[in-house]
Amino acid sequence: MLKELLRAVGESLQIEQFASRPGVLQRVDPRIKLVSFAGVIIVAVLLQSVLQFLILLLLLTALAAASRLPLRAFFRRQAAFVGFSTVIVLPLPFITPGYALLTIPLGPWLFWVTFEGVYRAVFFAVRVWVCVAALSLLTLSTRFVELLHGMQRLHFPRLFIELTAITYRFIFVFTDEAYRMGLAREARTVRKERVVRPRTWRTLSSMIGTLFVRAYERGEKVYQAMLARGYAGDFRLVNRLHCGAKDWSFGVGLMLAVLLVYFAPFLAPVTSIGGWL
Amino acid sequence: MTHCAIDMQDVQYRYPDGSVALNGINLQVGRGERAVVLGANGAGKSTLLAVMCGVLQPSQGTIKILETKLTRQTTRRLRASIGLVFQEPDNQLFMPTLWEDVAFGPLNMGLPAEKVKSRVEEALDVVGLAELRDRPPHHLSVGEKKRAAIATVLAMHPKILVLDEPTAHLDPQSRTDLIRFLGQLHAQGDLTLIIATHDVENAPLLADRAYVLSHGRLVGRGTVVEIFSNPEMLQAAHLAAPTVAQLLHLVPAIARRIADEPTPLTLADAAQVLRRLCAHTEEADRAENHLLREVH
Repeated sequence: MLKELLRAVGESLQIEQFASRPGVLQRVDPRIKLVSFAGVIIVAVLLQSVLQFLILLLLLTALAAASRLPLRAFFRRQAAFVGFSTVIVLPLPFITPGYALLTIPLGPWLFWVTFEGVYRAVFFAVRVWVCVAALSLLTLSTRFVELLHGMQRLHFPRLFIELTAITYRFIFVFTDEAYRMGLAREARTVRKERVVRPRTWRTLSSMIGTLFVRAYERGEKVYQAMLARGYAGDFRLVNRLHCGAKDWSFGVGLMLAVLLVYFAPFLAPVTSIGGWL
Repeated sequence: MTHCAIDMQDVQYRYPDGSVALNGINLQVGRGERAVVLGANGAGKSTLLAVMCGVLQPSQGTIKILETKLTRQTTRRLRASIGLVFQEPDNQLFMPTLWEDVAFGPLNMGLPAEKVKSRVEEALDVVGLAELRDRPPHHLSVGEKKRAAIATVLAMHPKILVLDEPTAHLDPQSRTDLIRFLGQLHAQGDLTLIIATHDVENAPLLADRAYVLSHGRLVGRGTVVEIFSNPEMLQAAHLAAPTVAQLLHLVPAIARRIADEPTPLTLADAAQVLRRLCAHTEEADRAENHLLREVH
C-alpha cells in the first residue's frame, strides 16, 4: 500500500514537470484548452462508431506527442480508468437482449452473449477511454494554477474552484500523512502481515478513521488560517492569462477536426449486426 | 495604556464542548513592542492567539486591536492589520503555488491587481523566497514553509505580527536566521510582534516583554529578565529559565558575584559576564606571557 501511495505522489509531482515542457498544448491558453477539450468530450459521448473513436484517440495521441508528453505515462493514466469501466460493463453482453453470438450452457442454465450487448460494452469502455484521454491531455499539459485561472475566467462557480484548489493542495499533505502513519505501523509490526488476518484489517480501518479525523481537524485549521487572512467567502485570483490569435486558431482547429470526425459520411455508424456484415 | 496594539480585558474562551480554555485574560501590548507569550504544551497559547486575532470568538470579555473594539462588524477590517502566522505552515499554505498563496490575503483585502502583484513580490523578497514563487508549497522545506507562511501575512502589511511557535521544528541555522529576520523586521518599522512559544532558550532573543500562560490563565507578566528571574513561577508553569542562566547559577562562585545583577539570558549576555569575571585572570595571563617573553 505504501508503495502505491508513494508512486501516486511521485506521479502527480511529475505532472507539473510535463506542463512546463515546450510543446504545442502547453502554449495554448488554458481557457481555450478547457473549452475545446470539453467539446472533444461532448462529441465523444455522441459518437456512434468504433472507427470514429479510434480516429479521435489517434488525434489525441498525436496531440500528446506534439506536446512532448511521454506517451507511456499518457497511456498508463488511461489504463486504470479503462480497466475500471471494463469491470463495470462486464455483465452487459450477458444481460442485453439481441442477436446471440454465443450460447454457453452452464448446468441447467443457458447464457447468451449478444451482439448488442458486446456492442454496448465495447462502446462504453471506448467512450470512457476517449474522455479520460482528453482529460489527461488537458491536465498533463497545463499547470494546475493555470487551470484554476482558466476556470475562474470562464466563470466556473467559485466554490468549485476553491474546492479543487484546496483538494489538490492537500492531497500531498494527506498522502504524506498516510505514509507516515503506515511507517509508524510497520515499525511496530513484528509478525508477518497476512491479508486474511482480521487484525490487519482492524488496524487498517482504524488508520483510515484516524486519517479522517485528522483531515477534519486540519480543515478547521486551514479555515481559520483563511479567515485570519481576510477570507470572506469569495475566492480571488490575479488574472495573468493572455489569449491571442494562436490560441483561438488552436481551439477552432481542434473543434473542426473533431466535428469532421463526427460528421464524416465514410465513418457511418454501425448500429446493428447487419451494418457489419 | 494609551497606544495599545492589543488590549484584552477579562477574556474567556470556551471550547465547543464547554471546557474553559482561557480564563480572565488581561493582556496589553503596546505599539511597537515585542512580546512573548510563554506557556507549556496545552497551556492555551494557540487559542489565545486565535482569540486575539478574532479568528475564535471569546465567550466573555473585550478585545481591542489598535484601539478598535473587535466586534462582528470590525473583525474583517481589523484582520488586515493583525497578521497571524500559524504554527503548522501546512495549515497556512493552501494554494497551489507560493505566489498564489501570498496573493491570497491582499486579494481578500480587495486591492487592485497591480498592487497585489507588487505586494507579493515585496513580501517574497523580504523573506528571501522570490525564486521559489511558482513552486507548489509541498516542495518547500520546513524552514522555507515557515518563511513562506510569514510572507503570506506580510503581504497584507499588518501593524501587528502574531506568530505561533515560530522556532519549532527548525534546525539551529534556520532558527538563528528566523530570529535575526524577525529582529530586522521589527527594527525597520513600528511593527508590533507577539510570539507564542515554549522555546525558553530563544524567547530572550525574540522579545522584551513576556507573559506566562498556565492552564488558560496568565500567571506572570513583566520584562523577559523579570520573568526568567522567577524560577518558582516558571516551574509552576512547567517552564524553566534558559540553559545559560541556569548554568551560571549552578556555579556558586559566579552566582555569588552576579546575584545583584539581571540574570544573563542569552549566550552573548552570559559571555559578557564571564568575560568580565575572567578579566583579571586574563590580565594575569597576559602579565605572565609578557614575563615569559622577556625571559626568552
